[in-house]
Amino acid sequence: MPVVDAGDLALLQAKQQQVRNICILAHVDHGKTTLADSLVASNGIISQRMAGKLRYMDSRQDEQERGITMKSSSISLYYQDNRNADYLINLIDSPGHVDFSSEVSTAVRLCDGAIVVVDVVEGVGPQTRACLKQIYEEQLKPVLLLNKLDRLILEKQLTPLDAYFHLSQLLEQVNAVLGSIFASDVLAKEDINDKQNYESALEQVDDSELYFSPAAGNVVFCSAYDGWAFAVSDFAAMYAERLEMKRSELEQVLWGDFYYNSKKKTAQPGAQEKAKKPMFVQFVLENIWSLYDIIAIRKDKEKLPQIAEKLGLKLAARDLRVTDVKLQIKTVLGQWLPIDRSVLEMVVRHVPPPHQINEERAQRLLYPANVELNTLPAATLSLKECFKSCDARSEHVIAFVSKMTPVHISQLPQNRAKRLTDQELQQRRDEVRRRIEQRKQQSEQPTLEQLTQGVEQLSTQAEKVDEAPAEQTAEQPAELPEYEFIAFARVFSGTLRRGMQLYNLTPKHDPRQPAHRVADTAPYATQVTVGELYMFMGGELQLLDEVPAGNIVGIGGLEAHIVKTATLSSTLDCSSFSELSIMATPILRVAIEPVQPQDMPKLVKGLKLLNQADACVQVSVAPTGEHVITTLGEVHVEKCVHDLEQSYAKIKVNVSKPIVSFRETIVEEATVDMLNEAIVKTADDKDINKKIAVQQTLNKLGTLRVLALPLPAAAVELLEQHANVFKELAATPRNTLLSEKFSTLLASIKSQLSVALAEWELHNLTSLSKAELVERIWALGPRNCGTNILLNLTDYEQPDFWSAQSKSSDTDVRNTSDTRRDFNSSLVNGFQLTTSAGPLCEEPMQGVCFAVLDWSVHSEGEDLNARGFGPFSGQVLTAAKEVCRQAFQNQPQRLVTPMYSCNIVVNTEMLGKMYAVIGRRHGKILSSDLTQGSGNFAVTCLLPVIESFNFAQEMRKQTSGLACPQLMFSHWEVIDIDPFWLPTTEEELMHFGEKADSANRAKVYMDSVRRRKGLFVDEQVVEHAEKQRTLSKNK
Amino acid sequence: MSKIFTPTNQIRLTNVAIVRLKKAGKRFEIACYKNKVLSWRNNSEKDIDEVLQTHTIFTNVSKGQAAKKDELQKAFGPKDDTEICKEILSKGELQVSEKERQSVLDSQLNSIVNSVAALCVNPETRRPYPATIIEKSLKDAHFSVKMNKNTKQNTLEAIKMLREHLPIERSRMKLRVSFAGKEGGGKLKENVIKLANKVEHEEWEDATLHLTLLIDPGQYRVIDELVRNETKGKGLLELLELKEVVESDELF
Repeated sequence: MPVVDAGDLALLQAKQQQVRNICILAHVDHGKTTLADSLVASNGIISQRMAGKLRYMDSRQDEQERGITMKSSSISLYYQDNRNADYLINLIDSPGHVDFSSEVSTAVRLCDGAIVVVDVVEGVGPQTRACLKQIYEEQLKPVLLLNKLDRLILEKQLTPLDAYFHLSQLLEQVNAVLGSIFASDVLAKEDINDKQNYESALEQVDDSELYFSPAAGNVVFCSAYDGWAFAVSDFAAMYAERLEMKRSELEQVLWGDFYYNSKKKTAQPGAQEKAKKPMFVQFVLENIWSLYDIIAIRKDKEKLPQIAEKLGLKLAARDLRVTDVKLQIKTVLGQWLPIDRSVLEMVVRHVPPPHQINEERAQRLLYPANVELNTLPAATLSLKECFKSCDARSEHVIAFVSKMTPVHISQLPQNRAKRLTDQELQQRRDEVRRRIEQRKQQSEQPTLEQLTQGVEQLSTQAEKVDEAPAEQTAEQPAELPEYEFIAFARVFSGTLRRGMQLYNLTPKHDPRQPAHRVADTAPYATQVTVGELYMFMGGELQLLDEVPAGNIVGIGGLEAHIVKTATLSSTLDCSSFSELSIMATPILRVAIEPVQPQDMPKLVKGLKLLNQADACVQVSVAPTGEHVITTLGEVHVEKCVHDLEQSYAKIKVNVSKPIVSFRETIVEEATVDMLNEAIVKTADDKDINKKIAVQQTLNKLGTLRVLALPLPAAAVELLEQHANVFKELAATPRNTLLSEKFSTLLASIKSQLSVALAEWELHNLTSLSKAELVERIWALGPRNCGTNILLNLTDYEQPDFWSAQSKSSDTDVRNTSDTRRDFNSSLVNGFQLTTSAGPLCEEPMQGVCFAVLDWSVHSEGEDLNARGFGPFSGQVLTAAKEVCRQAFQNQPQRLVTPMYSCNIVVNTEMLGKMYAVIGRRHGKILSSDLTQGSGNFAVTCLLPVIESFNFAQEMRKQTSGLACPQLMFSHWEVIDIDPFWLPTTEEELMHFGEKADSANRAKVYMDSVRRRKGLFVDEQVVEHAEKQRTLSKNK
Repeated sequence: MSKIFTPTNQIRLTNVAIVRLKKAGKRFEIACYKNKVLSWRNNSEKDIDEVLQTHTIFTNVSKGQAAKKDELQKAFGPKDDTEICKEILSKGELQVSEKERQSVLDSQLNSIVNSVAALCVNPETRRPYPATIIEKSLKDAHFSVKMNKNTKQNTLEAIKMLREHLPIERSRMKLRVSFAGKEGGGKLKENVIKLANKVEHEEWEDATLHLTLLIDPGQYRVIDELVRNETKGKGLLELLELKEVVESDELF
């Protein structure tokens, strides 16, 4: 087939009846890209011979090297069916690897149908399930393609009959997956409260349309690598005459348990029972098997031409001489059963054209799921009609951008050298001839040599001419970025033209709000100008002037406006499209940093580009200053790093585990030891006075007595929740009256806090009520907004914490006799310092109350700053810091770790392995329930953040990819192990041994942080003195 | 008569670290294992037999000369050998072994890097630099840890060196200064502001001036002294925030 001109394709775009938007989905390595190759070859874009080897759609270098697809890419193909109707097929090839499932989501959104490819040897993979689920959710029309049939013949060496059984089992498997997705969806929708309804909803729903069946024509058997494919109907057409049956009848019986009765010339059911060959085996598989046998196994050179003739194929002498068996198979079978014909025919027949979007899908796309339809304005509702009819003449232009693809500017068609037309070529040729003539006349020595030279010149010259403008453009925009982002979009209504003014609707845009519909002032819509329009041709682009509804298009010039997805519309009545349903959420967090520290700005720029280019990566800056990217998995990280290094940032980067922060706290004295034996306490142990820390300032003139107490969990939660309020309170400048709203908020926090403290054990330290205690709060720490309280139980009157108003009194009322006032802020700062870096591993504290029992300053006329210890304020600060630290250490200390809550959906077989992975990482299972209708368990568990690195990877490996965890930060949890614990009681010594070899988890965490921070770690440089390698005797 | 010293009868000490102590005019030595003495000193090794090769006290370990009873008696009083060994272990001088030095250096460098990271910010973003970046930049700047200085001194040194390699700045301290406006002849305000990086807020209340300042932490002492001297102890300094950094997680 000749190369189809892009112009013709552009013309076809307008005829919606003849447009199909499809994507190819499958498990990794089931042959999506190979299939795409064969289809591309049918358009003459690449050679038939190279189809399957070239992987044309994998335009990235790392895709080619690794042999997996990493991004979805689109190509427009031309197809002419046997009734001479022209079709434009927008094909999107998608990646199969789990790490790139976001790319699949973006592809699925733009299509009307999907080809699901299944490897007949490997069967249904986990990604096949995921694809089918996504197709079901997005309500695409799927067709099934059973790939790699050649492996059954050559590799597995099955007989045609065995192969038939294998295939029918596989088909059942695929249909079972579909059925279970369907069933769980129906059951989920079923009204559980309706007790009257004893019948399951399943029984009432029609699912006949759902399944794949060769007789219905939505299944194709194929070997994409060998370039052949057939549907049952292809063979039906072939045999109808010979078997003297009607073609339509034959289509129904060619697959299934039917055998052919040659006497009656009819198909009879019950082939298996009567030990007859099913028709599919007899007429279809055996033919293919024998061809393979002749060509690949027996290599029968004589018989081949005969058969070719029988099949009506033309084989060139050259084709017969080829010794490569595979190539020969390709030529013979490829001619007999061309893959493009069967596959594209099936697509054209079964996938609806874009203007036949069904009601439900239109609604689902157009309106957010949680919005009542009748609350929407009429104008918005009327858009659905335009949407459904996909009218190119509609005045309402609606397009959905599913992702932004980066394209190197040199690849943009406006920058690319144009292909010379025939005319131009002719002119050049003439020119060269003329010159040769001239030279001939000059030298009068016409030689063949010169002629060839001339031709060479022609080609080099042509190149030169081409290069020149390209160079110019390259030099000119030296400042311009190297990559332009092109929006990967589909037009749903109206016609998109270059330079058009459209609204970019953000997800918050809501046509129900009248304010949102006012042009110019709409808060969540910006006006954008459509730049260049492109048609995707694999790795290349084709310029277009306008694109009618129903087509996939690349839009330039939107880089600044769109980050990842967007809805473009000419009217503000349109609502923002529902978000992509992404199968996996990113969970693998890694820190990225440049190898050269000076390259930091470049990295930041690169990360911004990466964020825009990849739909499924989250980029953030952690409080530690690290740049953290959150990705789907290991391969995804590698791709991101590769992109950063090669294109976006162009610097070397390092990838490391992100830093996990901890907190420190104290707990009540334990009543049982590690083996749950009760600890007998003497009166001495119980004496709370032993826990009080006393510290004098350096010049011995001031004394502090402090007791640290754990706060109840409710109070900690309350303080944590309102951290922002306290931050604001601390930032309020003095003497400003707090706004009424703020004051009432504070008052409510106050009362809640006294309730939360109701149960708090205070060891008879004070007679004050809880409400009074709240009034006596001196400060919160760290940073004035933490969960630690400095409580004043002294005779000193602290400035009121709860209002900014009276803050001033402490400094301005100079006449108060209390000298301690001057050092108020020093003491508070000492407390802040301690709470921001605790003694365990210098992490902030959480939920600790430091009750100051006594604060005395005995100046007795002496200058406090004298005695040569520096200013007294500094001494107070140091003393406060020290005393808090000691008080903290006097109590049992604990480490607090952040926890992820983790949701996993897993099927029954893998449940055990999944538990093992969670157990190894010290996770806690909260619940695991069987979801109705499917054999899957939904498991919820908690996992320490520090253990989460590589968790998803391990989980996937252990469960063969059947469990995909999703992680979300949930809360802070105290690790109930003393980091300094050593076996003490007799039972503990017996159980753990003297060194407690079973590693203390809290200690391991603490030491890892200490080591990172260069703090003291209690470990020996060498464990066993005698076992050191010593120098040789003779040296 | 002493032995003739030849390479063949020479016994080299391997895996031995000698700890020496001079007391009562005599030198005492003990033979310890390498890489163990510092562990003993910081209390992470509790088994004395893992530290000492033998409980004998020598006057010269390499020659194998044991100390005499009466000399020990004279120097240490009536103690048994192990007690004396412990005293020598804790007070004596020793040559630090390779691995020990390495681990001490490593942990010191780590603590310097971390305190630099804690003290400094990137002036463009006002966010801290990650510790790894600081470590790398320090290496590029050919920074070496000075063992005889403490972490704080080393840190300040490191920050000084880093300035030439990286846009880096001490994170600023937020301070509130209050004093009567007429104190210090009106010059006080001027002087204080000169020392600050930025005046965030300024207000008069009656005759008292309140200033909220962002300062370099190094200037804290200077301002403190200035205010105290000029106002004769009546002015007031209040530390609002130790370091002003952006702390939240930021999504791109």
